[in-house]
Amino acid sequence: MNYLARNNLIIFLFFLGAHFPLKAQLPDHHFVEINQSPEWEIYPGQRKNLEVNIKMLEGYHIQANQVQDPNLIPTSVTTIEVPFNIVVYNPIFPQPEPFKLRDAQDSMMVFQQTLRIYIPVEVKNEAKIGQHKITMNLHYQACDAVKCYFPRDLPFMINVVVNERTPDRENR
Amino acid sequence: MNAILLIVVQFLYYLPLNDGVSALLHGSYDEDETKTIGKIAPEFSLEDLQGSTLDLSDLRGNYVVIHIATTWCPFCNAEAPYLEELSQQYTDKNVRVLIIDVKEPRDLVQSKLQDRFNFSFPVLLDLDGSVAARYAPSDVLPDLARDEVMLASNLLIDPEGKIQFLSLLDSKNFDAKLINLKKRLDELLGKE
Repeated sequence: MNYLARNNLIIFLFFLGAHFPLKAQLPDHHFVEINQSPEWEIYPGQRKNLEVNIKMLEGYHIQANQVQDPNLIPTSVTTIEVPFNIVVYNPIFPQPEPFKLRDAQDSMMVFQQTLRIYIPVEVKNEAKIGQHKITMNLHYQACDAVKCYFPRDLPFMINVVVNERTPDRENR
Repeated sequence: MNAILLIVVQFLYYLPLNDGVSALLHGSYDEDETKTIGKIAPEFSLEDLQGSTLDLSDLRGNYVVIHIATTWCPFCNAEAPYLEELSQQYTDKNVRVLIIDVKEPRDLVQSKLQDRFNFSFPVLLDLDGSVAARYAPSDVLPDLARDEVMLASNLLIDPEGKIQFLSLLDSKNFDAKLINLKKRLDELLGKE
């Protein structure tokens, strides 16, 4: 390869490379925000419903957790990682709202504004005392008044503090 | 000194190529995409569900209505019967209808779109979303991926290949019955 050709190739690769990171750095835009307590105190042997609030950005809605139309993608909250001796049960969703598109033949069920779900968590008697992290994933497909967006995954963490049972704490 | 001069010249030489790479990655196809209407529609060549290739240029001389869809998109499903109705109403008026499905496999599109709605017009597969991306105006939802911006949108291309309608620019609410698109189509057909 002669000098000119080699230089051309280097400069081409430089500019090509300069653009690919731009694409890789595009933020994963989300249409929801997850709000919850910074940590949950649970005793060994206790089962608690942990509240998680999923706030839709203004003007957006997401599909319900159960959809009538099999083409649609239901919202789901699944467990990715859970510590030993802690059990996470299926989340409890509220009743979705009907949403009818103008001129559409059927309405569909969606969540709008704030979705409050409860995640039942049981800490076994054998669970280690201390801090634990449960990793969950929200899978959702959002639309606004004009268009729909690709389904997205939003992982989130629930911090659980397993404390020893003491009369003092239990009376709180 | 010569080497520095050579690098400067090469830098200037590659600037347009750099823009080209940017256009490829970010889906832009025109310097001023705020003026989408009236611009030549980007060419594409896509396979339909039977595996036949359709080029946009094959339809030059026709009005072309394109709906950009996915199987899971409720707006697209709501619009599907009206697209079929439009296709049948306007087929003898030199109007061709297409669906471009974005980033979904052939079998899924066949079962969830074609088998369900029994379209009489082609459903094309934009497997990597690059065609949808090329139609996305850069000033609409700039923080989203370009192929995503076009989902559930409708385009009308005239016989000369110019974009005459893009629902993303003209609608405040989803128009399942394609009222605005038909209005524009009737205006154009009325001028002939």
